Amino acid sequence: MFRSQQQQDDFFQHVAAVITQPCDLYVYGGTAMICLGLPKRQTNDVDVYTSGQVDLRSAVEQVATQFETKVDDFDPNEFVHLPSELLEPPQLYKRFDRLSVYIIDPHRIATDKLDRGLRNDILDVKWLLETNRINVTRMLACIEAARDVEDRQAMRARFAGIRGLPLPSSVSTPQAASHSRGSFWRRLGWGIVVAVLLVVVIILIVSG
Amino acid sequence: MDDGALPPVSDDLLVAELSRLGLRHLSGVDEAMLHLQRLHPRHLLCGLVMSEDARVQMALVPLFLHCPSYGVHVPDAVDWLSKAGLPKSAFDAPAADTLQLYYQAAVYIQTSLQQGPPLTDLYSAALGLTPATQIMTPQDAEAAVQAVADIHAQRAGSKVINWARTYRHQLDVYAWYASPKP
Repeated sequence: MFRSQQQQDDFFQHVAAVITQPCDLYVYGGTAMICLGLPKRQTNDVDVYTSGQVDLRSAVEQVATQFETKVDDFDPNEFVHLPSELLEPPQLYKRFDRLSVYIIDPHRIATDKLDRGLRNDILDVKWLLETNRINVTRMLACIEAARDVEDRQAMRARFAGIRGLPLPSSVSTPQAASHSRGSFWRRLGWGIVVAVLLVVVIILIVSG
Repeated sequence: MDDGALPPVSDDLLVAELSRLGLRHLSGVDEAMLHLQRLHPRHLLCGLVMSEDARVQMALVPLFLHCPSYGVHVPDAVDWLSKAGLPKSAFDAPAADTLQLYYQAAVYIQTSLQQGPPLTDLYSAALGLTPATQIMTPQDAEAAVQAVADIHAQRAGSKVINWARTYRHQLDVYAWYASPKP
C-alpha cells in the first residue's frame, strides 16, 4: 500500500475528506519514518495517535478499511517515558484541509526503537542519525533519562554499535542485565555490612 | 525457473512474490510485478536473506509459517548461500547462517502457535538446540527462540539486535492480513 510518501499523503487526504472539524493527528513508527523520508519498505499498518478524538479515530478507521490497511492507534503510556525538557514539540508534517499531521520528536521514536532493538529499529535509528534527524548528545540524554525501559545497558550498547563504537563488554542481553542487577544488590549488601561495622566501632571507641 | 544460478532479485520482485503467496503485510506491492514469472523458492529465500531492507528479510518467519512447504528448499538455499561467499552486512550473521537461524526460530514459533502442519526440524541438532519434539509449553518455545537468538548474536559478532523479538515482530501484522475481513 504505502509505497511512498505520496501514497501515504493520499491516505491522510482521504481522512481529511471525512472529518467535519479541524483535527490534529500524530504519527509515529513506520508512518513517521515515511513522513521523515525513509526510503525503505514498511509493514502495512498505520501508526497514529488520535489523542482521544473520537471522530478522528472513526475517520482513520473508515479510510483504513477502504485502503485495506491495519491501524495502530497508540497509547503514549505504552512507550518509554521521557522528560518533556528533552523533547521538542511534535513537528508539523503537512496540513490536509482540516487535518494537521504531526510527527512526534524523532528522538522519542529513536528511544523507543533502541529499547525494542529489532533489526529494522536499529537500521532506522542508524538512518535517523546519518540524516541528522537526531543528534548524539540528545540521544545519549534520552537513553539515560528514559523510564520504564527494558534494559538500559542494552540501549547504550545498541546506540554505541550504531555509531560504530566498541560495545560495552559488560552487558547487552537480558540475562546479563539480570546478572548486573544481582551484582548491584550484592554490592549494596556488602555496603550495609561495612556501614554497620563502622557504626559499631565508632560506638565502642566513644563509649570506651 | 531454476537454472542453478541466482539472478538479481529486487525487493519489488520479492514483495510481489510474497503477495502472490498470500503474504500481503509488506507495503508497496508493485502490481506490474505480479504478472512477471514466478520466483523459484530458492531464489525467494536467498533474495529475502540478502535484502538490505530489514523488513523484507524479516518476512522469512511469516513465510515459513504461511508456506511450510518452503522448508524443503531451505537446505538448498543455505548451500547456495554458503558457496556464494557473500559479504557480511553490518550487525548480521553470514547469509547462510541467517537463513538457518530464521528457519529454526520459525520451527519453534510454529510449535508454540500450533497452527498448520509442523515445520521439519532441520537444524536443532547441528546448532546444539532443543529438538522441536521436546518443546511442550510456550515457555519451552520462548526459551528455544531465545537460544536461537543467542547463536544469531554470536555469529553476527554483535549484540546490537534483539533477534528473539525480530523473529516475532511481523507476526501480528501478517496475521491481520491473513485473517478474513468482514
